[in-house]
Amino acid sequence: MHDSSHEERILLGAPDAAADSCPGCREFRAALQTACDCAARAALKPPAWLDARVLGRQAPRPRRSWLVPSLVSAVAAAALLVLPSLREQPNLNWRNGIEKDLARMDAELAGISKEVAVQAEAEEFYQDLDHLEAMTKRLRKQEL
Amino acid sequence: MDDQQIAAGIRARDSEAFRLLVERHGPGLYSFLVYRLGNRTDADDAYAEVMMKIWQNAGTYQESGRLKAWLFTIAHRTALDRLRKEAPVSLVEDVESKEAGPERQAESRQVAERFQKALAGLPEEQRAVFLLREYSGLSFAEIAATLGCPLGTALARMRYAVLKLRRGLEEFHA
Repeated sequence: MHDSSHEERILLGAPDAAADSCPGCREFRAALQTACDCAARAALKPPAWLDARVLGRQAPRPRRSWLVPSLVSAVAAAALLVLPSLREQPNLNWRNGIEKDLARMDAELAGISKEVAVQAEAEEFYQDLDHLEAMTKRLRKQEL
Repeated sequence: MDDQQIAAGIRARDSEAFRLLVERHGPGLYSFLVYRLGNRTDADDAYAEVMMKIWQNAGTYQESGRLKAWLFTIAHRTALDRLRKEAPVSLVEDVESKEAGPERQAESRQVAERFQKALAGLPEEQRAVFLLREYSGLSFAEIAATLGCPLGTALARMRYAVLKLRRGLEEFHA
């Protein structure tokens, strides 16, 4: 008679001759196979940019440039100025305004990345970028 | 280079060893995080966080254990922290491979969507066991140790997960 212990033996891969003749065991095996196949087909790879970022984080640490904190502070200050004013706007064009600001912030982030890629210290630089990305995310949530 | 050599390399701050680890274990960790967290944006952040923890805490890795078990324990705890902080976002986002062609992308997306929807019907504990088993390849004893539960509990959760997933994934069997 089929019971849960048979299914656990199947999961453990234990050979069990009785399981071959048991309909419940065959059914469980088929269900397990389907789930495993689907998981394998649905497997994902991290995007290349993410791996590059992860690998960049443990690169040797050159001296930190003064340019990074100043540019990051400038963008952060701009975002802090933009956010309250967006909240106060009662008209229906506020979405366009946010989208423009987000696009501008994206462009500024890209600019910062280019400018400091060579001289900035990697780990702290990415922390700064994380901070800005978090800010961008908060703005996107405002947009929603 | 085997996993133990990779671990030793990372402890010695060897970038090449870390690159090998990312190449070898990155896809499994990433798949686990995407389906555990339920969306790709959080998984991207969590993946970067997990890799950073691995690099920074390599000194705490015990050579007696399997590297993979240590990696997935970090991934599991990171995912759990994030799930506790924020309610999971809606189910499926863009899960297709950007490198694939349009047909392959559509197929990948369909499979991933169906898989994610089926997973969403599982309780947290069952989902964790199933994903650890599928994407880490750890033994059930290692999974039980990772989750801090008895082996029998891990097996029972996997059994229920498989039975519940059966309905959601029936069409893939055909």
